[in-house]
Amino acid sequence: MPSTESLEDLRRANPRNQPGFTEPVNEYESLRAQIVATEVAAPRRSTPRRLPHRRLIGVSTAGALLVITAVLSGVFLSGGSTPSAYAAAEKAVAATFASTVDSGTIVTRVYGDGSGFVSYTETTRWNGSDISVDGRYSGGSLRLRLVDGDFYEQVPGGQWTHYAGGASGYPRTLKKAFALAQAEAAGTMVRTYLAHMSSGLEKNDNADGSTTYTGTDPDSPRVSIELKVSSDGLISHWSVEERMSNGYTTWMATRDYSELGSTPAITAPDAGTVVESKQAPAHAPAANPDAAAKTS
Amino acid sequence: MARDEERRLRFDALFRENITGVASYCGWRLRSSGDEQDAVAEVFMTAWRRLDDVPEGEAARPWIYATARRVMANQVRANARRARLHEKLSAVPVVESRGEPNNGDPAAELVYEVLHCLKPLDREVLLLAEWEGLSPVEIAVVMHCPAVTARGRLHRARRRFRSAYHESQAHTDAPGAGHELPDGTAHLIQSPRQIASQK
Repeated sequence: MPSTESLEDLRRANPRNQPGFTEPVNEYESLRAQIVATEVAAPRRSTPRRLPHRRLIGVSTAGALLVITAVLSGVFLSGGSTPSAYAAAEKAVAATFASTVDSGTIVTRVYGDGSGFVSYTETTRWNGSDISVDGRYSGGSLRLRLVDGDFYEQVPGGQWTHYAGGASGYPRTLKKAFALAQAEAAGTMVRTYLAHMSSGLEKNDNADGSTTYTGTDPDSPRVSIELKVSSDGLISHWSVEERMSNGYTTWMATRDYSELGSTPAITAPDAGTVVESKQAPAHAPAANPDAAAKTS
Repeated sequence: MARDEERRLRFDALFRENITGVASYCGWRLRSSGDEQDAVAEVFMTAWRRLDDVPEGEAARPWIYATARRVMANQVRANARRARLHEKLSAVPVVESRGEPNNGDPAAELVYEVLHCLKPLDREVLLLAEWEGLSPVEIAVVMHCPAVTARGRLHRARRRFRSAYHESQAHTDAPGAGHELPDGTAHLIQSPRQIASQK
């Protein structure tokens, strides 16, 4: 065997090349917004503090409002008031997220370039503190519901397992969905992306009275966003597209936000399909992170 | 542009350029995905707080990796103090936090087996170069050692890996491999750990 072959095998074994690597990395997308928002809300220079990135939605409405207030004063007032597409988009964001958006739908899609990455689609809907996750992956599907504090997970065959209340054991995917919904509910995600589009944002008026804003991050051309603002001045839909590469392969992730404020209530599965009830979820990420990771 | 906005933009660029690498590095160094998430969050929180200390340009990447290494070292030490996690955590890096990598690929399984048998320092230097793409000079920043030392470590780590890999593969490919050995001959087959320890 040539001496370089072993190193080639080593490089091919890089976890970055494995299906599923993008999922946890994409998970950190909300971390960026959280770090920036946290600092804006309460600047800290002293003791390092671990981020509450695993907290669930529903307990931080006051915090979200604080963040909104701080971000509005910190970002939008300092962003200038020129009558540009950027200023108009900012205005729509401010109007849409003037208060926490209590419901919405987020669709995340990841497309590989065909060289090993597995595509997946995951739809997250939230309404108040209730949430649903429907994921389709190459290895199967995942359906989770959290309604009135009770957690449901669909099992093979289409039936559901019901776990009575208690947030400590929710699987990682559900926690991730909460973090994402929380960031969207407060508008931190769209603000973070929009902040990079202060130049080059294009405005298009549509026949139905709505307006579409599109732009690409001048500092990172792999990132682009699109905002659709209805005639009432509120964002009805926005999306972000990011192309990523790890040096070996490239993939594209899109996140689509819609039905902001109009996503229907999340309902529990039909009682006839619930086959089993347990007191505590089988997933226990706090006690066994490895087991939890395998569920997501 | 307001200073807050400048900070935010610089941090966002830093985050985008390094999140994949930091997640990867923390992923193969730490055993649990929960620890990995905590470490990644801590690294970027540190970068955000100390943004003025982060070098400009290409020098930012080794700074971030060095920060990640310190964060993980602190995390491992803190975890080691917890008796209930004593068995699960160790002070040495592992390469298995993302479930079952390369499932079904014999070459990749052999790679992982050999990696586990390398000395922790050899493994870290090797993977920083081969998986994270860091140069010897950048590795020196991460490891807090002179560049010439990093270069020598990397050279030795590559040699040990190649040697252990080839010997393990020779055993795997040998006639009769995978079958039970005749009584009294098992000691003739060395494990990768044994092979690596002899280099």
